[in-house]
Amino acid sequence: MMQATSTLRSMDVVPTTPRYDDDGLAANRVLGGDIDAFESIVERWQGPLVNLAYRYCRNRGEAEEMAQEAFMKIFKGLGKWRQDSRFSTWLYAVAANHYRSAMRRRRPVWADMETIEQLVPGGDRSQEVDKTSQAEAIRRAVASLPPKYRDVTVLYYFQDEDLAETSRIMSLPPGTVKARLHRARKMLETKLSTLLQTSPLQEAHQ
Amino acid sequence: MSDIDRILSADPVIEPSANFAARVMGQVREEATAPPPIEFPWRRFLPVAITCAAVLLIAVGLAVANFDPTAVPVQPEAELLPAFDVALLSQPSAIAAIALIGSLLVAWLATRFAALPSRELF
Repeated sequence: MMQATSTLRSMDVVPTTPRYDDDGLAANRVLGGDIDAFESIVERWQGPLVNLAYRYCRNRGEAEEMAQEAFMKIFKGLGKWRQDSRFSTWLYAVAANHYRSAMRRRRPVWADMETIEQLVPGGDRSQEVDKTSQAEAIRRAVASLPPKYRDVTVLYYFQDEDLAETSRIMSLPPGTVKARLHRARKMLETKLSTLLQTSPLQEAHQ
Repeated sequence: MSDIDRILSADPVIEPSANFAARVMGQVREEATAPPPIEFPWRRFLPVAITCAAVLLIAVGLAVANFDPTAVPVQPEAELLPAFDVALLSQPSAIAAIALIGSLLVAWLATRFAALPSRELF
């Protein structure tokens, strides 16, 4: 069972004693032949990349596998990082691009509305369980969106609702990101209309 | 803020496995120490490819230059059927076919030759 302790923001995961505090310095060391310097990058970014992968696939084992592959792509493509842009932007762009490809190869298990409906609260369960089920149903519904809406939604919320950073990572104009987000929300509302109408979250909020 | 916003903003954190970084670094070191991929043997391939192309071009050129539809005698179908005739060799298409077969043979020999370890070659 996954360890869900708090909410994640992309920059929340604190690295564990990396050798190089600066990603640029570590990257230059790696490019200069010091392979071990890459460990600093892995240690610093393992949390965010595994969590971003998890938001795509909703499976812990698969998320780690996807993140590991993303790190390999980052290692091999380190020379392509133009140092005038932020390392994190480039890193997320490489990872998101890889996750998108990995998801295309996968069976679309999340596109099944029946699965989502099964997660809609039943009459005899507690409200706490219902809330968890609803949250899970919403996250699965996001994963079932068409890729271009799913990617924007996943990255936008992962990046702490930072529209500018999301647009940089996706190499899309902010207006396009905004439009896709709007469309994604409409699609989610339509998909989850029955769920949201009976939501204890809403009841608790009122 | 809608329910959707609130829930998606509060996605739970998962911690990577304790050995995740070690696994990644293991793969990175393996990648870094792996021998470089074997280069395509252009030095052997190019002469053979150029020879094949030249032979083919010459054959096609000869076939086109010698083609004269009026020179081909119109014969009854039954007489065209015999499988092989010495006269056939004088036809441009036959020259082209022989050149093509020759090219394929050279290409096949080249692949066999390239498959040999380098110490057997030099």
